[in-house]
Amino acid sequence: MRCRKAHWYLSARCDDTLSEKQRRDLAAHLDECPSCRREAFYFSEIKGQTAGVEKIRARADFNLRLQAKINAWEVEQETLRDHAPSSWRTLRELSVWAAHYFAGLGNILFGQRRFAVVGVVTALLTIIIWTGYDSDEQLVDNTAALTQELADLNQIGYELRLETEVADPLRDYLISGVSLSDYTSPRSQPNYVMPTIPAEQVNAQLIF
Amino acid sequence: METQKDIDHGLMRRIQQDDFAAFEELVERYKDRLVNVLFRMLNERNEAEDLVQETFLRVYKHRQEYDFTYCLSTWIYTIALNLAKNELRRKKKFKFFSLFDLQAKGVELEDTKPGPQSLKIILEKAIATLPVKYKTAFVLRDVDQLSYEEVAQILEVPLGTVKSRVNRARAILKDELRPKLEERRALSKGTLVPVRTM
Ligand SMILES: [Zn+2]
Repeated sequence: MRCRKAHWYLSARCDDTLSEKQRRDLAAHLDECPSCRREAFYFSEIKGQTAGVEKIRARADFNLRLQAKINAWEVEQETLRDHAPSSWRTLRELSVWAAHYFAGLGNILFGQRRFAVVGVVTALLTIIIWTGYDSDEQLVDNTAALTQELADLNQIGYELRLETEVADPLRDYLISGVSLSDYTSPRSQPNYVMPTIPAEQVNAQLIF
Repeated sequence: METQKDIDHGLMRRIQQDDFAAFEELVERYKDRLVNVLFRMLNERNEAEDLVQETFLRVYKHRQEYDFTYCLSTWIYTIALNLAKNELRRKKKFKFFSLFDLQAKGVELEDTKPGPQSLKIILEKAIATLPVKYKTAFVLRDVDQLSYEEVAQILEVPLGTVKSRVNRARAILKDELRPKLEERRALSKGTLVPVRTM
């Protein structure tokens, strides 16, 4: 046997994968080869030392920290699920948008409070109907959020109306369905001076 | 008799039915081994733990996608090692990798006294500096004591490749440790029986 082959056998001996014949051949070679005897010593030392290398264990709070990460992920999933489009949710959102539309349209076109009132009532009904299964706090939250949205909408409507001497932007808004979030407030324009909203408009926003 | 694979699969079926106790049992079965393997790969304990946590998080997130034709342990080890390899790649990129991490942030090595270092400490350092592909095979086979077949499945390489990588790693370690080993051999008067005393 050549020394090179003996080295392979020595490594295999670490894994206990030598056949009986291979074991005998290796033993015979080791008897006559001091260099391979030395290698055999090295191999078994490394094997022994490796087995004795300290085993690092997970820290005591490992499970707790993992549990916290899983909880956080599950909450995230629930939130995503809540915002996932479902027919139920789409219907609800459609109703809210219809309410917005009434309120905005009434305000923009005529500056008339009754349209805004229709909008607000529709919105309230929407909330009551579609959040009926939710808790009271949820309803309060939704109402507050919608009140804010309507107030914003009224402000946008009011600003739009200031510009409706020019019909085009309004038509774009109403017909081509430019979304409200795409609407650029004149407030963001340079040199814009905040107009004073007449008292009746303010009241219309505070109808709740 | 129920094999490890059967036990794992039983747990996984329960985990798929949102049985969290089964998931905890799975974590108990593998967390220490994985932390140890990743620590040997990265030389940094906190990172090793974080990546093992990420591994279990992924197992949990993708529990419904688990394919029962494979070993669960193979799947878990593959996720953990891929995370470790990415981390090593990232470290290499930013040149953060340092052998000193082994002592600075890692485990408290028993032999921190000044003077000649023990064979075990030199061995740990030598393992830490092995090239990644040899280190991975060596750590899985010789440190974690998985079978060659399991290592081949985890690393997705042929059995022969694993054997040759482990062999190569052993040869590198042998060369690195040669002076120290020679010292010990002289002490043991040339006997073939390894000397265990330090
Ligand atoms: Zn020889």
